[in-house]
Amino acid sequence: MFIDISNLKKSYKSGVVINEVLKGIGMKLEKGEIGVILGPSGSGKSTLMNILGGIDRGDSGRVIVDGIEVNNLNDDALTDYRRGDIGFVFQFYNLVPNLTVGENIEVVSNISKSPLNTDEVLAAVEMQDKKHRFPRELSGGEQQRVSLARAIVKNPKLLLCDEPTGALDYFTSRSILLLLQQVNKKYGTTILMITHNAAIAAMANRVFKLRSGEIVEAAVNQITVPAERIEW
Amino acid sequence: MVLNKRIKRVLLENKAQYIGSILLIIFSCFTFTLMSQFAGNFERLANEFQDGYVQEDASFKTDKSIGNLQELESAANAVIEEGMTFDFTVSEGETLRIFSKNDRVNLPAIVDGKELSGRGDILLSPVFAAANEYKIGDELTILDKSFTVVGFMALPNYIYPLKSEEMMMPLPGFGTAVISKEDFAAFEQGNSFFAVKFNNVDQNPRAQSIQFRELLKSRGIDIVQWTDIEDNKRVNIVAAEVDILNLVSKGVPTAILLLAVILISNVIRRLINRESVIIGALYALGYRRKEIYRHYLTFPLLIAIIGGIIGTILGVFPVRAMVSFMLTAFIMPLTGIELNPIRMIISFLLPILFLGCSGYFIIRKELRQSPVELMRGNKEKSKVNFLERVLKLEKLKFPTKFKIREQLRSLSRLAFLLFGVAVATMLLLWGFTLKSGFDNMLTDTGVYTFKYEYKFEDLRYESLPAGAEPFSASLFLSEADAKNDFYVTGIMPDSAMVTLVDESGAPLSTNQVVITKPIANQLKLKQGDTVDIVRKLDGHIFSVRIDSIAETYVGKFIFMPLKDFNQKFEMPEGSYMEAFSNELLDIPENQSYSVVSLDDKLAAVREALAPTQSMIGGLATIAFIIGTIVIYVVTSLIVEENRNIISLMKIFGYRKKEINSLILNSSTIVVVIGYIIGIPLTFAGIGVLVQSMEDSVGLTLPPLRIDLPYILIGFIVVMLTYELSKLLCRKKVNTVSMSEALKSGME
Repeated sequence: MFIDISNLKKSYKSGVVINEVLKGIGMKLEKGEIGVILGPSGSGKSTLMNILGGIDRGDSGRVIVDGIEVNNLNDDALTDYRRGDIGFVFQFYNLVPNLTVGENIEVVSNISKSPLNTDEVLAAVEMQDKKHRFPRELSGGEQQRVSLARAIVKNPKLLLCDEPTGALDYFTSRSILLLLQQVNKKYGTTILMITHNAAIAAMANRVFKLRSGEIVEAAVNQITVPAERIEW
Repeated sequence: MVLNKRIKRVLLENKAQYIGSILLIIFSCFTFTLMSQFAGNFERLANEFQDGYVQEDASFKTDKSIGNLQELESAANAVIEEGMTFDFTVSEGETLRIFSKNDRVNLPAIVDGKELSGRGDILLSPVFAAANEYKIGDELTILDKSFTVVGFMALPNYIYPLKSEEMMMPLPGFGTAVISKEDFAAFEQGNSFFAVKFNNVDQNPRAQSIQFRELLKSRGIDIVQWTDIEDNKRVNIVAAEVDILNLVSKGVPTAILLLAVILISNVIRRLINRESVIIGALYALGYRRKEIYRHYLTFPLLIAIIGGIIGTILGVFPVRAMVSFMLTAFIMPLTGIELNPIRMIISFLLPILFLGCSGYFIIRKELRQSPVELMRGNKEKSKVNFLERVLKLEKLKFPTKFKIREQLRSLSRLAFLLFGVAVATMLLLWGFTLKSGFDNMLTDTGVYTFKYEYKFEDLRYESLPAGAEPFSASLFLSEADAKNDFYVTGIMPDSAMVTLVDESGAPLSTNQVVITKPIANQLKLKQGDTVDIVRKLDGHIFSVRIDSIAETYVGKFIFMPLKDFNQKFEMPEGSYMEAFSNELLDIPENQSYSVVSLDDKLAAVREALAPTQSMIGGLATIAFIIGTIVIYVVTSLIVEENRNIISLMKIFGYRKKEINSLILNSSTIVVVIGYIIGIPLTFAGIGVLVQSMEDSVGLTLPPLRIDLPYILIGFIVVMLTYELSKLLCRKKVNTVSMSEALKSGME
């Protein structure tokens, strides 16, 4: 199993109030699969993704990604884990405004051991002709393509997407989902996506529904729907 | 306005930037107040001293005594007093110039102790007394006669106590003393001279001086030496010092104030950008533009007021100490310190005016957007400026590209850093360049190969022993430039004591007319030119053809063979008034003379340079502090503006060292460029200063250059400030959390 989470708990303390965000979660995802986590605001999806991405640590439980017990890594090992294995795509793209498209991708390839060719990933996201543009000169969808290119340039084992279509219109969202599916196929990248949009679940191999820090439903899609056919 | 409750919170959130700004204002007001009040007091003390103790308008020596002095006084409408003086060697290297006490002109001012009350009393100059540890009540024996030191005094014609007017610096072992006329007469030796003070205050003293010389001439009295007070280096250096102080009191604070203005403009612009959504919301809630203006103007005004008050008050305290320190070199009575309220008000108001105006324009520009645009927020952040757009950086490595883009991201921030480092460099190199100039001047003495320089009171004809050469010198002015005087010196043809070289370093014969480089530059003369020169003593005009130009900066001289000198300037054949010698000469007792050794001259310069070391240390400290403030503020601004990028880098797996290298080291190239820009700016600044010194006292320094070791030391100091600033900012970088990027979208 590529991702194997069991009994993961996480709570935040704010003054005297303890907010239990994850209450003993368990989930599994095979290598090369696409997983979707569905859930309303405050359900704990982002916390779960942060722990998987090595940005945060769970209080207890087991989080194994490709054989690595993430919860047990020290700070330096977590940095190496993020550096080598994880790609991130954010809802609001998080591009560096004063770097060109090509340079934004270099932010990641600069620290990767064996990055993919920048032009190749730009071609993969159909942005090769905009390599020298600045983020401000791109549409939201184009910026998200760059964000995706930046995430895959290091050829990560796991691509974590936090609401990748949350700030995009319908058609642009579909094109981004299509790209994610293509990346998954082309590079064999395992993808875990969190979203509010239940329709997106159709393209995933596995779907996890989260509510108040608990997985209320875990489903396996025997047949996945191509992104261009998803509608909402 | 309830909005103003947040001012304190905003200030505390960005302490570094606001404290940095306040410190710069404090520095600016401190230097302005200190230097301007210091210059004002120094000038006032000099004026009070010169007026209150009847400083001469001119001093002169005649070939014979003046018979009826009272009658001459009324004819010239002047006060004339005859004085007596001789040099007494107290011990090896310790010389006292003893004067008979004057009653009408050049009155001694008591700075400590009491007046002469009778015979056997002596007044000493305080600097001489301190250097040689004489206290009031001590006994001093002069030519077998015992004197009691009853007080310390200042003479208005010896404010800067030069042993001879050809010297630049006072000798450590030289001082003046005043005894009663009766005591002086008892010695039965000494030279007589006259001091004249013209009564007509409305007429230019120099014009009156010309008329007076004509009057003497009409009475058959020949003047053998004449010095107008304006040409008296023991006095006119005071005016030069005041000029320099005034120059520095304007230049340095203005530069620091401009730094503060750029810094505050940057900070306010960023504050408004960051808060554009809040401002838009306030508009939407019904706030008026005026109210928002007032709120944001509070920040620069508050900084200006706090910095202005603290800086102005702090600047007042050291004024007395500075004046007292100055009076150890310029001997004048310290009657008190007066603070000029107008200068204090200017010191306080100037930052308010500068920061208020710049703040107003920045706020106006930023608030020009509509509430909707403002609420959309942070347009500025994603803007790409012209330079960022046109730069093609593809071929560079990513870290280099990143650092260049980081610097170009904010041109005002870049300007602030460049300007700040350049100002710090200027302060740092200012002292070093002056020291280099003096060092070079000291090593340029290769032109002279004698040890002693004799000056005789009367013309001499006797031949001199081997190892000595006669010469004569007279002060002249150019007809075209009546401001700066120079010496025409008649020396032996093929002199062994004066060695001159041309531009290429080839030796020049002294059997021709040779001028030194400073005078050639000043009068724009080249080889083969003929120049009309005016003898200062009597105003006679002569023409001199320049045969060669000597590459030396020891002073302003025209050298010519002594025989030609005597012939041209109508001096008796075979006569001379001065002599160079390698040994002490055996001069008959009936001939008056003074002697200065070249080593003494150099020792005086070296002695005078000693305070320069502490000045350089002081300037280096100020430069270090300003450099640290500027670089720290810029680095913390960079960290502040890049919080999201730092956070993102942490998410991507960048290590601390890598982030520090990309973010904190991005200014390295700008700091280096700022330092390089600072070097020519230092030369330009010092050029103004040197010109002022040259205009006031005719002091000539060799062409400015700064020796490589000093450039390296300066560079090390600047880089140390940079490293210190980076160290201080490293903690800031480390505290940026990964969640910041997750919570915010940058585009």
